[in-house]
Amino acid sequence: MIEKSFFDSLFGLILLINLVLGVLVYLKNRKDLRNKLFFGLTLGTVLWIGGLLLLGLTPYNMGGRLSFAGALLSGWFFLWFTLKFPYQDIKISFPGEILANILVISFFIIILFSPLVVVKEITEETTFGVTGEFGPLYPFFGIFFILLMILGLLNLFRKVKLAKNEIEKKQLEYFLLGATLTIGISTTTNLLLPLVGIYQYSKLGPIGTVFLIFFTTLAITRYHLFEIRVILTELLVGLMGIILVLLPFVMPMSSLKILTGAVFILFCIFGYYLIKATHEESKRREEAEKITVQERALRQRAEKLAKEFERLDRAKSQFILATQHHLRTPLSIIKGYASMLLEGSYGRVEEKAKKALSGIQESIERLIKLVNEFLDISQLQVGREILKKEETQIEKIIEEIIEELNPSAKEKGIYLKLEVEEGLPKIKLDRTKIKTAIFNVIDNGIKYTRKGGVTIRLKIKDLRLKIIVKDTGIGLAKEEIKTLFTEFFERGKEAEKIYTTGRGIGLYVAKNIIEAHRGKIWAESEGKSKGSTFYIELPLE
Amino acid sequence: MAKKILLIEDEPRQVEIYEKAVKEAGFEIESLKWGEEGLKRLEEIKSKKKEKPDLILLDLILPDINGIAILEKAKLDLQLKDIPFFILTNYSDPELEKTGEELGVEKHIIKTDVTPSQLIKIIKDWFKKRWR
Repeated sequence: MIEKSFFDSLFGLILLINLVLGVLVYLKNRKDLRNKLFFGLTLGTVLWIGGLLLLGLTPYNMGGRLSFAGALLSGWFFLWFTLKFPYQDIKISFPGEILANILVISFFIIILFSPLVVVKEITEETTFGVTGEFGPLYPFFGIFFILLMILGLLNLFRKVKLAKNEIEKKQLEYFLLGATLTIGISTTTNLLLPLVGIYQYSKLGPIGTVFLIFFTTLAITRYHLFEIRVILTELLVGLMGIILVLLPFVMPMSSLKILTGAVFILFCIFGYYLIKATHEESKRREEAEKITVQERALRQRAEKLAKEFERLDRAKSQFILATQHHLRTPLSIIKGYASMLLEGSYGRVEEKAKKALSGIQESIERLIKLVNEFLDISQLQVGREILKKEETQIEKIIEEIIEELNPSAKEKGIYLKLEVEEGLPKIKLDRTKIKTAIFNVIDNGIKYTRKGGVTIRLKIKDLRLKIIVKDTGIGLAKEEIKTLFTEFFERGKEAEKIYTTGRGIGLYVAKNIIEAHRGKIWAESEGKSKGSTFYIELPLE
Repeated sequence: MAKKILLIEDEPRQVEIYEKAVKEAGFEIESLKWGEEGLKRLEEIKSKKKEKPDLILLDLILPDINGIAILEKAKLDLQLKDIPFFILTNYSDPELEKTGEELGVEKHIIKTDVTPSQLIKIIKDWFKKRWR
């Protein structure tokens, strides 16, 4: 026969543990609704167990009424907790919430202050249970309570599936397991069985809450549920310490007193390190979490920026394509009229006027070339594949360029020489664009050379084609070499004197085209008035 | 008989220049300004209401639709696919150019690259080559 006092002290202990756990969780974060709801859940359990402890001791069957009211409260808080933890994923309509709250409060009042649920708290007491007499609302209360439980468990189940990370999933799984066991046991012994007239196991119900406590504690210590691991460790160490410090005083023999005293001291040392370690780990974890949060924020920002950049890039690309059309349209019309005027389509043109028209034509061609170069650069810069590569004999291109540039070289009285290594292979290039690039480099050499001339050499070295353009011109200062191929290049005073209309973007254009061919371009010079050499390297592919 | 050229181009000055040059070269020319007109013309050619041109000069940027739409309609139609097209535009998008090539355009000409008489020479040479 198990004594009533055994159950009473067991209930007392479980009640205490529930209370301590609830208070700890509440104190950890008093502002967090989830902590408050968990505290409410444990308070309801405390009321329930407390009521059972008071059975037969108070007037008006207050013990029995209190235990049912407490169970209702804990069920209600359980449902709310499962709805809010770890975050709310479904919306509850406001009228629905009000209605449910009214229902729960009404039930609570009815249970506490009327005999509609509890008529008589004890009619008979057995080893594991207490028989009572119940009122007409008891079945409704039972169904309502079970409904709360089922909804709560369903919430937890859904959230386990939706869990965002492993830790959250584990926390929920532990809590779900504890809740299922506790609810399964308590509802069976204290609600379902009494409904069909079996009362003798009702005392086992409160013991079932041990499962919820156990698994919640497990989730707290192993998966940092509610973040109260440190406090819980301290509390346990403290409790053990108190017990151990008292032991020497109750030990009968001095040898045992010494032994237990030594155990206490050892425990103190271990306890100190345990608490310290827990503190440190918790701190590290908090820092790691902080970093994770920062990292996530940074990543989100980076992603946003990348998207924005992509959008701008597309817009820029489209803008360039639209611009080329708008810029070229009037140019092609001017070009058309000028050439037709010159060709006599609009009647005979006097020689004087013809000269002027030729001037227009020449300038318009320069403008068209400039616009084309700008468009090429912009398109190359936004990464558009605008090259139309074909097998090309490079020396042919250079011969063409020399032919075009020979008149201006002759006019200046300088030479233009080409030295080609035997047996150059064909290379895949965008003929027009490469011609523009090399033209610009050679043209540059002619412009800034007063006497002597420009020599172009072609050779193959290390599977690369080398085009070397060497002039005997004004040369380059070191600072000039640095910015020579940029869009910001400013020509030196001497260069401006020699060639007044230079615009300084020819080499920039050349560089963009060469690089689009995965080639390299650079310049070398011994210094001012010592000539310069331009190198172009193109892969043979 | 004089060859018939259909110009689909929206810029009035440009139309004036090309019409003049083409007529002087002894061809017949008709111009359409809108893309929709071009599509309608293709329908009319199909139903034999209008004569098939010997060449269509097509601008890509039209006020209503993209010139490629006209090209597609013609080239994907058995009755129309033998009409030769020159793309004549100031819009050089390599992708569009590739699309044109795939659809079987005869030539892709950037307007600023050629004077009207150079264009006439290209057309004449092309006709000569085609009918030889």
